[in-house]
Formats: sequence, C-alpha cells, structure tokens
Amino acid sequence: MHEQANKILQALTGAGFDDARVSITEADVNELNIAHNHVSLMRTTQNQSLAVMAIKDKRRVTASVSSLDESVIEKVIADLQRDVATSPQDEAYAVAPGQSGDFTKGPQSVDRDAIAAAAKSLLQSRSEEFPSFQIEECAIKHTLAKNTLVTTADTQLSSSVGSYEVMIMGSSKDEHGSSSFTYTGGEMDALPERLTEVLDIGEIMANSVQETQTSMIKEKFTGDVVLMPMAVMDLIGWLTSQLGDGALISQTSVYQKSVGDMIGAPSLTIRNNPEGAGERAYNGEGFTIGPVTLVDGGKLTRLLPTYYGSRKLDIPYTASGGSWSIDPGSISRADMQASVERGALVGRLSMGSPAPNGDFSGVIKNSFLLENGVRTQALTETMITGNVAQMLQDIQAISAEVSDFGGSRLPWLKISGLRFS
Amino acid sequence: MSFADFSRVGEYNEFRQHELRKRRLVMVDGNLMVNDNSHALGESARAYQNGYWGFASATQPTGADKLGNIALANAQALQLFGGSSRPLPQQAHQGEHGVACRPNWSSEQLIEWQQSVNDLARSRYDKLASMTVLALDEYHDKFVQNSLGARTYNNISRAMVYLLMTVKDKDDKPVELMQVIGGKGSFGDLDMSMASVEAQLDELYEHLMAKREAVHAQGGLQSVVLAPNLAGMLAHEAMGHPCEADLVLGGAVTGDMRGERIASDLITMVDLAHSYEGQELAVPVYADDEGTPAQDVTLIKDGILTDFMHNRETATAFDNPATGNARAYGPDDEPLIRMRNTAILPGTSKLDDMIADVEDGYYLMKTGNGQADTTTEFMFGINLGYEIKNGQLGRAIKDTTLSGSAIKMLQSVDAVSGDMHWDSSGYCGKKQPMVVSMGGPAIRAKAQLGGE
Repeated sequence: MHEQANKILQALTGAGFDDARVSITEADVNELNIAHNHVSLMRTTQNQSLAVMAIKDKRRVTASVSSLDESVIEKVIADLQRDVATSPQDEAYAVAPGQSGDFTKGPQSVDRDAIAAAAKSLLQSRSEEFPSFQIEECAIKHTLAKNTLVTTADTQLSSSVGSYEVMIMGSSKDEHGSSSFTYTGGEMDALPERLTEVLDIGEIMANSVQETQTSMIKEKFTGDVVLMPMAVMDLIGWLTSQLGDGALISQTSVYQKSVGDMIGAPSLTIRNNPEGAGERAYNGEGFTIGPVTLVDGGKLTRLLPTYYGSRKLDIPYTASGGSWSIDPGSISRADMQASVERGALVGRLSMGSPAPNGDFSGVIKNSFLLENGVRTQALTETMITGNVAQMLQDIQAISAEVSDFGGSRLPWLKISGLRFS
Repeated sequence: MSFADFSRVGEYNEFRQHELRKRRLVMVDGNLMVNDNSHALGESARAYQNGYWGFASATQPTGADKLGNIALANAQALQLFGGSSRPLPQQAHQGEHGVACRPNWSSEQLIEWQQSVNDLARSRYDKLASMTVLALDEYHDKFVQNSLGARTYNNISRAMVYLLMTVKDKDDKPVELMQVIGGKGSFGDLDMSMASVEAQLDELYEHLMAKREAVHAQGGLQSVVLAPNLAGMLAHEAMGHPCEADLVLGGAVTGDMRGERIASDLITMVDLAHSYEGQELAVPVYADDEGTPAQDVTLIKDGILTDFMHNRETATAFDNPATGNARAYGPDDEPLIRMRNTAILPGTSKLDDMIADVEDGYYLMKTGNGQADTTTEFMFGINLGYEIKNGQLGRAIKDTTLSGSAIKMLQSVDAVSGDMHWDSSGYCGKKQPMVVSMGGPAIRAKAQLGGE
C-alpha cells in the first residue's frame, strides 16, 4: 500500500503537479445489528479508497475513488489535470511537510465470538433489568483501518488502527406510553462482558424506563441545567465549529480574536485525546497529533484552522484530531443534582444548529425536572433558551465522574441562567 | 456497470451494483476552499435465512456468487441466537428508470459562476460581512437483482447551490441566512441565471436587514403560520419518521393509533414513490433496493392515521404489502426503511388570508435542520420568521426552535393553503444519510416556540 501510494505520488509529479498528497485506506468491518430487541443482521464490508490532493501553479484540487486499479488511477490523474486549471490561485495551498511514523493500535483482528457474546449479554440485560426498554437499533462492530499517507514534502505516514464500536438507540414503552428515543455510542479496544457497564448504556436504559410518564413545566422560569454527556457534546461541537476554517476565514467567529481570553469558566479545561480508542495518530491532512489543551482553566489557547486556513490567515496551526475531553471536577454527580434549586437534568438537546453568535433554543429530551435538589418527573415539550458562548462562561460545576466514549471523555456540567418554557 | 450473473442462495437474496458520484465546490468570500470530486463504486449482497439477514460488500469486483455466499454465511452465523423463518412478500419489479438530465456544468463553469455571484453580492450589498457559495451535485446509479426475479435500474440525480449571506448586527455579532437553488437533474436543469440569483439575493438581504434588528420570540404555545417550505419539514420530521414501520416496531406511539384521528381533517399526508399529479418528483423511486415495486403510502387521510412505510421484513411483521421504502445510501450500506417524497397535500386557503386572521402569532419562513421522536415530539430550527400582530407582519425574530407534539399540532391545524412547495436540498439521517424530498402548503396551527 505504501509503495503504491508513493508510485501514485510520482505519477502526479510526473503529470506536472508541483505538490501532492496521496492517502490510501483499506477498511474491513464486521458488524452485528440488533433491531427491535432481536439480532437481525451480520455485515462484512471490505472498502478500499484513494484520496488525492494535488497542487499546480498555486491551484488546488482533490478527488477520491474506491478503486486502485491502474486504469482508474490514470483517469483520476487526468481529471485532476483538467480540474486544477479551473481553480483560482491561492498562495495558502500546501501539503504537510516532514511528517513520519508507522503506527499500530488496537485489536488487529476481529473476535466475532466476542461480538456475539456482547450482543447476548446486552439482550439479556435488557430483558431482565429493563424489559420496557426497546432496542430499536444497535450495532456492535469491529473495524480494522489500514492507511498510508504520503506527500511530496517528505511526509511518509502509515497506520493500522483496530477498534470495536457500539452504537445503541432505543426508547421505552409500557402501559403509560412511550418515551423519547435515547442513544449513546463510542469506541473501545476490547468488548466487555457486560455492555451495560460501558458508554453509559446501562444508565440511559435506566433513565429511559422512567420517561414513559412525562409532564410539561407549569410556568416559564430561569434556572439551572445539569447536562449529561450527549448534551455536553453539543457545546463542544459548537465551540470547535467557531474555531475552524469556515467561521475564521469568513471572519464570523465569535472567537476570532479571543486566543488568550477567558472564554469559559475557570474550572473548564478541554483537551484532545489522541490515545483514545479508535483514534489515529495523524490527521487527514498528514500531520501527527500530539496532546493539545484547547481551553486551559477557561482560557482559549489556540484556534483550530486547517493547514490551509492557518496559512491563509497567518495564524498558528495545531493538529488536534477531532475528539475532545473535559477534565473532571470535584463534585459528585449526585451532589451536583442536589445543588440545583430549580432546573433540569438534561440527557439530550434536540435543536437546530445554534446561531453563529451562539443563540439557541432547544427541546430538552430524556430530561427530568430538578426541584430543591430532588429529581422529580420526566419532562416533555420543554424548551431551554440561551447562548452557548455564555453557557461556557456560566459553568457552575463539573462532575468528578467522567463517561468514556473512546475518543471523548466527558463529565456532567452544571450551568446556570437558562430560560425554560 | 450493468446487470450481473446472479444465482439464488438462502431463502431470499439480492445483489446490488451501486455507483455514487459527488462533486463539491465551496467558495468563501472568493476563496475556493473545496474543489472535490468523489466516486464510490461497489457491489453488495444480502441473504435471508431462518429469520436472519447476512450482508457483504466490497469495492473490488467480487461477483454476485461470492458475495452472496459470504452474505449467506453471515446469516447462518446468527443461527446461534435461535430463529425461525417467516416468508417475505413476493413482489418483484423489472424495469429501468433513469433521470433525464440536461448537459451538466463543468467545474470551470461552476467556479466562474461562484466568483460572479460573490462579486455581485460584494458590489450590491454594503453591509455584507461574508458570502459563501456552495455547489454540490450527486448521482446515484443502482442495479438491483433478487431471487424473486426483480431486475431494476434506478437513478437519482440532483444538483444544489447554497447561497449563505452573513451580516453583523449592532453588537457586531454575525447574523446569517441561506437560500438554496436546487432540484432533480444536473446544474443544467437549474435556473442559475444572474437575473434569478440577483432577485433571490435581494430578497435574502432584505430579510437579513430585518433580522439584524430581530427580537426574541415569545416562548411557549403560539399561533404560527408555516410557510409552504416549512410544511414539508413538518411532514418529514413530525409524522414521517414515526410512520416508518421499523420505528413503529421500536416503540413509536403511532403503533397503537392506526385508524384513529391524529390530525385535523384538513391534513392528508403521503409518502410519494416517484410522481405527483403526473410530474416526476425530485427523488423518483420506481423500485426500492429490495426490488419491490414502489407505491405511494398514504400516512394520514383526512386526519386519520392510515398506513406505515415498509420494507419486506416489516411488511411480513405487519401482514401488509411491502411499499418500496427500503433504500441504501452508499455501496456498502444495507437497505433501511427511508422516506422518498413526503408531503402534506394542499388545501384551499390563501396564505395572505391565513396571516390576516392571526391576531398575535408568528409567520415562520425558513428552517435549518429538524429531528423526530418516537413520541411524535418534533423540533426544527427556525432561521427566519416574523411577528404577526393584528393580521400584519411585524418585526423579524431571532433564530428559534419550533417544537411540540406533532399530533397536538396537527390536530390544531385550522387552515391549509392551496400552494405546494417541494424541496430536496438536504439529507435525512438514520444510521446512513439519504436523499429525500419533502413538500407541502402553508399551514396554520399552534406549536411551542423557543424564546423569552
């Protein structure tokens, strides 16, 4: 694969390109699916892909195909030659220079017996402990992804990353009614004996079976939210989108000039997690990923442009990967809930993308009313309104317990000042 | 790509050859950030044995026999969970259905056009902070054969342009709105003339100027008039997903409500297979990826919940005919129950009258994404809307979210316009993405709005 990548690189320079990046991936997937509480499908897929970025006369073009046949590659190069001439010139186009390494990580072969055992244990736990929970869809899979990435600027990288991944979605149904759907998922190096003990699976099932009887709030109020990990991911997603190329190049990011500023509560520290299960040691641009602290005690340490974006805007580049973790705090989740006078424990936010300025309103799902420190009824048709940038500032507490999703490790967050309606 | 040699394995099996071509060009303020072509080609086989499915796919040419045997072995491997066979519906379609496209635009033409749009916007709108012009087209070709004798070719082609304008409000915070030009076929099938673009950008900029001064909506239950391009989203998210038979089996509340009144008698909602009033729709599905002939599914008829959308397996479970809703997005995806062209059918009211009759409420015009739920509690983001005061449009409102129980909302509908707006600009997400279209008239109802 490595040899073939370099051969394609040579063909690109031979075709007149000044610079190029070639990435070849071969992925084998074994996946067991559960539907409606029953094992339903076993999948095996074998995918091959070639992704090329090529630069000529400061013009850039990219392409990807699912075949490595010589005739296909010849056509790709011919198409790139045709298309690159149409691109406008930009000095910022460049390929990753001088990166090297050969990385192997995670289980390199599938254990189909372990996948079957995990499915059995999950179905058994559901029927014995949470019989009203309906697994609408669950996938337990092993992926082995082999990649090689080379550039004309002396980058030579290769990796073989194996991991198991579990995704589960479902809802509860009993004589009272149906709950909202709930879901979780993540990656790991080995499947546990009991799936309910990882990825918060047992917790979301336990909550879901209590959500078939719901109430609406009686009146509008301003209060606190305790965000569980799936809702915390929405906050991080909005933050990183504000730090990326789209917002930065269009000069519309609310954090355009905020490096060094306090953008979050002093208790908030956000890091990447390159050691997490399934995480590759280098990114798609061809840069190796090291440890990165994005927000340090509330202070923004850097922006996250691509290599192109960093050259375009003349700002530092950081290869960070795409998974983020929040450092744990010191309060237990139980004490965090007990500290809320009026608000809600929020499992999931159902909302459109927050506005570029951070304003949002969203329906809170898989959520419970908190009154005088006590978790009471499950909520329905309840919305919260606020501003995501302000929410980061208004974090009152971070839980000591952290949920591990492989790439991401996330605590619960208590945030004040949300409007409930 | 063409039909392959095919042989039967297991109780039922199918073989799909699948090609997916996409092109994406993204220009931000004159900078071409993405100029990308992708081409995925693959084969897949699926086999059914003793109540279990096996699936296998490869990007390398492998052949129906070899992949079919791997798929069967996968199905047989699941026999350790027990299992019993249930006969699948026997419908099988034969036919070839392509979308007739006008000659497409080259990347060079598109980039020149994107630059012209950027220059036009820069010269015309003095408060414009940023202009993004995104062009995307995609072509799906599938050859499907199965052991029941189905032999079908289906093509879906669509092209889209997203025009995203951003201005700054008085606090220097960004405010944005997007306009989509898109539809079936290639860029050659769209009206991308500068006169048309200019008119659409003028209108968008006018709304942006109003949105710079926008106020928060009043949170809570409100009277709302949904513009025609929002009703399609309501159809898809609010009642479409809960009427997918796999979600029904997963516990959706709709499972116990067939034959019951769940909406005002003004509401009829249909998932159309390929045509409406004699016109082929944006996502024409004549046969699905299980080789089932596709038929329209009336989900709600005059307010009564009637039918669900099925694949072969759920059709067996419900003892209903398969409806042709089993669709796979990529070459390595197995077919899932997906909507096609989902619409609320038009009524007889006039939009202007529907607004004029509202004393205190909101006119909601543009949406971003949406989400459904097993409870029928839906939400979708509102990116453009105006207050209605005493029958007149008032101030613009800030971005908000519309939500509520779809059943309660549809029961509160008291007017449906005679308009019909179709949209096929985004993707539906459900394990895999999927190309869908949605349509509807303007609707007046009561629903929860996020806000002060």
